[in-house]
Amino acid sequence: MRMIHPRVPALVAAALLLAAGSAGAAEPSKKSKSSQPVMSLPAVPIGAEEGSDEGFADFEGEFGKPEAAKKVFDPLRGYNRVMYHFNDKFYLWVAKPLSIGYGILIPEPGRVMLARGFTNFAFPVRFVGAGMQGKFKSMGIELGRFLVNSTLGLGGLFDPAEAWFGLRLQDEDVGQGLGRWGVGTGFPVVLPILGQTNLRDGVGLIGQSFLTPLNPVYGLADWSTNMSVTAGGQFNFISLHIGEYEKIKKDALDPYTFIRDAHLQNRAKRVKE
Amino acid sequence: MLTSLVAVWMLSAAPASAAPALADAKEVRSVVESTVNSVLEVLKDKGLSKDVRKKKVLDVIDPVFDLALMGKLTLGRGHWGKLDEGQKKEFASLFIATIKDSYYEKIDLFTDETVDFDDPVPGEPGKWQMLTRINSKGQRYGLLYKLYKDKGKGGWKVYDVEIEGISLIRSYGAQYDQFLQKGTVPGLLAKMKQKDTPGDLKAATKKSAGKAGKP
Repeated sequence: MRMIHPRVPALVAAALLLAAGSAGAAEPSKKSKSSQPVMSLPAVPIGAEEGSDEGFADFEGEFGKPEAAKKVFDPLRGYNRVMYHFNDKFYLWVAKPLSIGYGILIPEPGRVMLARGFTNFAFPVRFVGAGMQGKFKSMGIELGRFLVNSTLGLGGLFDPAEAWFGLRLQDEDVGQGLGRWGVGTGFPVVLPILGQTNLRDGVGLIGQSFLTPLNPVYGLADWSTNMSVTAGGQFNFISLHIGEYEKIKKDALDPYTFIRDAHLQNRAKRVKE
Repeated sequence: MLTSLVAVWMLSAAPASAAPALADAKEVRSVVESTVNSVLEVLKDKGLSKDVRKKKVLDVIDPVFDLALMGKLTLGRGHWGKLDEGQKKEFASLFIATIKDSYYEKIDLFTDETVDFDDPVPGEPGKWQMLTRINSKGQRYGLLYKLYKDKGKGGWKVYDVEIEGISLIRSYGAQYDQFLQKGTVPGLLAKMKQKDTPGDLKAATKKSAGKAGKP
């Protein structure tokens, strides 16, 4: 698994789902709840305090009954928990202090520019991900963005594609493409350092590792260059999101399952779009 | 036959429902826009102390978020029924405190943001969703507000918020459900109280980590 090239904000993709590569141009999904069992709605005023059901009936179509709540299939949970705690400590003790130090050296506007540069560099992932989902318009937008931002945007440090041409980043990746093809998530997997993912998206990450010219198989860069650039992107990313993971962790009664479930929800939404 | 049925349906049903829907959409949009804009205004006022800022943000969302309902929904009918009246009250107050803190802390992370509003989209009858996009540090985050029409008190109330597809109700609900599979209601309340206590957060988290119900 160590060969995985983390395009997606790694550690953070794990935990910081709030942030993980989420600069997507999501359309509001009109039928976002269509996968939930739809129940008939009695004519009780929504949210009514009176009545025997205290207003639950109006929302059970959406959130389901807890008794019927499906349990997450998590056969690796023993390993996953251990790896989650390892990543947690790695973030708190190593990645975070380093990122904070780095953040002191480079002011935030500079880091935001760098983050844009890394995002621009990852264009092939979004392009292929969109293609796998048959989103030809998204492919076109991504191609346009790449051409404009690589040139006028000085290698992607700026985003004139959006500012001048209204071309918004299309948040697609290979895992979403597999999802669109009907591949289920399999089960949750926590990767060392890279963090929370699942079997399908983990396979997507491996596939995606070939979508950068820095992959050593193309002979343009060796492993250490590849890893350094990747790690640099991650530290840059983390430096812009210090404190987010900590807040998520604080919210949770059980941080591992909280992040696992949130990651599933987030990926499901992105596949649906 | 079929075509004429369709024609009748189009003539009768569509215009009749279109007008109120349009009015609903307008109301939902104005509720969400004014709430978000008021919150932004507070967040951008850097002269305020953190405590004052927080209080002001919460004052804005208080009338719009149906926090009591959200608490019930996270527990779900099954678990909610297990609580006696006192526990219901205690749960509600702990949950509301948790959610307020959580919402404020998320929103407070966005320091330099602008917000774009999408058009409201109808959900189940009497419910609408409106996506807002927060632009922050070169990234865009989708914050989806889900509202229902409060026929009792009138007006639109938020019953769930999704951040990048992650529903607040679902996420907290799954946590409480997991705990209650093995734990007790008083145990849950004690744990929530522990989480709610400011300061010494780390110790509390550490201490409770071992006790968390494993799925």
